[in-house]
Amino acid sequence: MNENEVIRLGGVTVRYGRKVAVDNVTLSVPRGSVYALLGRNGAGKSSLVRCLLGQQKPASGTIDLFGENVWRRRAALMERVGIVAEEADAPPEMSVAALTRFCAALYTRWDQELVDDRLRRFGITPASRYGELSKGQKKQVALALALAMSPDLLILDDPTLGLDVVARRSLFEEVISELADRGISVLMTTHDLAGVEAIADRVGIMKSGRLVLDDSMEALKSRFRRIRYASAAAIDASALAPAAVRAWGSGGEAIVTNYDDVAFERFRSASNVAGAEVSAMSLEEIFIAIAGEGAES
Amino acid sequence: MNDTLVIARREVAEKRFVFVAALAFAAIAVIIPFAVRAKHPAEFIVILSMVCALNFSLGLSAVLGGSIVGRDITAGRMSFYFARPVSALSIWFGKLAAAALLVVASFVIIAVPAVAAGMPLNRIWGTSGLVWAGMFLSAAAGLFFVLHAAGTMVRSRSALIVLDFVAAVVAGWCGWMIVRPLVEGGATRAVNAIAGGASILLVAGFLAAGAWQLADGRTDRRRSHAAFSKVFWGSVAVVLLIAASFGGWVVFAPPSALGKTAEAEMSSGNMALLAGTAEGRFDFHPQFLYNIATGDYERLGGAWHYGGVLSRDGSKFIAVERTSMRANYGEVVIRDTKPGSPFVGTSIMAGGFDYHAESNDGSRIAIVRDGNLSVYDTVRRQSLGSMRLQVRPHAIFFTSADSLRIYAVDNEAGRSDPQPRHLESYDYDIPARAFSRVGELKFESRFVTLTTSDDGSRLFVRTGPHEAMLCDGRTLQPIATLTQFRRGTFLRDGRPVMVLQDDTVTIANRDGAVVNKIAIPKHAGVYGIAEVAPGKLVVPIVEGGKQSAWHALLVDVDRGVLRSDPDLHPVVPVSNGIASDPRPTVIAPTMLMTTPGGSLVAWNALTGERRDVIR
Repeated sequence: MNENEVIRLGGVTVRYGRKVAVDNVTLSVPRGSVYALLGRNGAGKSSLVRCLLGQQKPASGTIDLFGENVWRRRAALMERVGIVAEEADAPPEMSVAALTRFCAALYTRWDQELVDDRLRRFGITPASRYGELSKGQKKQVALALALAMSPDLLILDDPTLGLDVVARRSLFEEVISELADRGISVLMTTHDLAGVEAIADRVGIMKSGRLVLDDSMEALKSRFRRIRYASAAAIDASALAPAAVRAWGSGGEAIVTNYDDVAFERFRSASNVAGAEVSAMSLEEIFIAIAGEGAES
Repeated sequence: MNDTLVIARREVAEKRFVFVAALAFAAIAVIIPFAVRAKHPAEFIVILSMVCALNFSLGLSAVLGGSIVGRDITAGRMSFYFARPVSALSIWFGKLAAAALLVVASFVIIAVPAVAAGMPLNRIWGTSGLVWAGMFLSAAAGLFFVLHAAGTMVRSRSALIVLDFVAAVVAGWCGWMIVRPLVEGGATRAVNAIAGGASILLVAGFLAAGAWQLADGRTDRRRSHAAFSKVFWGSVAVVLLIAASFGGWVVFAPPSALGKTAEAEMSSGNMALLAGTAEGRFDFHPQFLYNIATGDYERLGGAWHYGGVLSRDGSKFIAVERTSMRANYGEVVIRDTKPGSPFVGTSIMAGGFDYHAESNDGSRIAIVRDGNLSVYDTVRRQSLGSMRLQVRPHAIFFTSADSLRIYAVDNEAGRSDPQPRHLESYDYDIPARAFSRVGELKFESRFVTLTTSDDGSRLFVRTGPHEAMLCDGRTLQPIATLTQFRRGTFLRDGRPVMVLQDDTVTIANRDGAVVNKIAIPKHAGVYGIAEVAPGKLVVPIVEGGKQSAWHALLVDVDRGVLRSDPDLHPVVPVSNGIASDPRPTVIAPTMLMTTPGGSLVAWNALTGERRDVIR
């Protein structure tokens, strides 16, 4: 494992009986980067995260955190990993203060002032019962706890699930400020593509258990283009090597995964289309093109 | 350790309502006796408080066992712990420590009123307080672990539960197979040792299984179940192996393990029944068919063959095989004493303490059970007759294959003063199925001791410490009064032989007239006279004085004392049921004797040759 990699997955497969939830996934997360793991519901993200946290053993493959096998060294490695789980798993009857005390007793690098300060900013009183908090507040408490132990790696499993816009923004701002202050590595699964687009360095997209895309955000945005053209007659867009082609108005729309100016000019002159235009795609559009219904993986 | 305490503290904090409930029960135990105006409120408080404490704590133990891990896994809350830098061992033992604290603390809280009301802590209801504490903790731990196992298996909703069920059935069957010979052998202490050892090992197995369940199963309920089952059933297999090894070591004790506890019953053949308690192997009572001439032996199993006897010719072994562990009766089974012969059921039911008699070759047996006399042919497995006995037998024996003699005494109890006795004799004619009273005798004695000739034609009736009567064995008509009498027996030809206080072996004719007197060494006692060859008697005597020394004399009734071998005395007879055969002991020349050091030797009375059986 490269010293610059905080996470390395090699050929990870997870099965539930006959069903394959994660199919031979290999990826790595460089130190200091923010990795956004995207996928539709049931794509296998949560299974992969559970394996990544050493909570579930994959059927095959290896998972290393900081160069150490996470299944064997989970307890020691968790000292360096902050986690915001998809579902709130803290006991609902616990008060936030008790929850904080419990965590403080388990971590050697614990900054109580940081937790208190963050909770104050979130407007959460320590005496509140965890079960009585709103969904957003639970995520905020989880984030406060995850960041209080000065993690080297932050794993956020769909942290904005069920949160309103304001809460989402607040959560992302916290993560961004932490990134700016400490430069920690982050692996995040989310459906909030707009939110993650601003902070992710690298993106992985899972579909039906397989990692169908794993690239840097920069490369991704430069590679993906939408080409729309107007034409009364049927046009052969194969010269563009499109990932998808569909009707659009009186013409068509092609999604190109490896955009190339030369190829585009060749297509335009050969097809004699009028008004063909190229536009950049948002992460959400890229995601839909790859993981959406009808998209080929 | 610190992590374990952190987990334990959190679990206790989560379930602190248990303490509130315990306090409520303690209050109830105090309030109710006064509310109902109980006559003895202090006693009422003690009983109510203890009943509440036991039920609450044991119930709590069961609930915690079923939920403390299983519920967290199925509710998806185990990730709360596994996302922290704590080991699976810390999680498991933290949860266990919390459960133990909750159970014990709630018991103590509810029991406080009982102690305050005057319950003594050192002894409760006649039993040591420590024993109660041990029983309570064992029950609580048992409930916790059993419910934890059941909870883990059921909550996983996995097909593995079928394998668990099969494993439980197989383990139960194996366990029973291991302890069965011990239970049948009356080895209560050995069974308790196995139960105690197995319990401790099983608790260790449970602890290991729970730890591995979390270490390998973590948050996955099916994997958790598989991990638990793998280690738990593995532990059970190890426990069964150890128990089987221990049980086998106890059950397969060789005759030499009997040591000084050896008992024997000999026959006119070379076969002997050897029994006793295997020394150093708890309280198992093995029995062996032992060939005195060759030293070969065959294990018969434990004392479940109670009432087991050899036929007088040594060709058959007859026993009662209990129908169940709790029954004190069973089926009479019979086998040849040839090595490897199988037991054959007779469909005859008998109790271990029923009066019984066997014909010399074991082909017929008579049993008196619940006041009924029944005679059976063991070869043809058929009843030869049955009748209601109006008398209680004192002795019963076959005078021939077709005739049974019964002696009955109206008053058998031993007394320090002579008591009036009324002895009656009855004959049962087997082919005619006719039962008739054939004689009676009234006499006074402290004890009732009868010895008959082999054919039942003559009878010694002891009437005092040194007095006896020689009677007709059938009619009980007195033939002669004998004084200076120590022991009496009959030769195979029916002649009476007596060891008298004048230190002689006195031989009489069938009418009681003395025909020969043979001087033997001065002695204080004589025991276990046996005829080992026609006209040749072994007479074991013990000299008096501080250093009592045993000698085994070989006496030829016509020629006098042939040999005197020192340091030999009769072996203790096998105490199987009630010995009701009053006939003389007739055994083979090579017999089992014991030495003063407790060794068992095979001694040839005719040649004096000795061979160690048990050192």
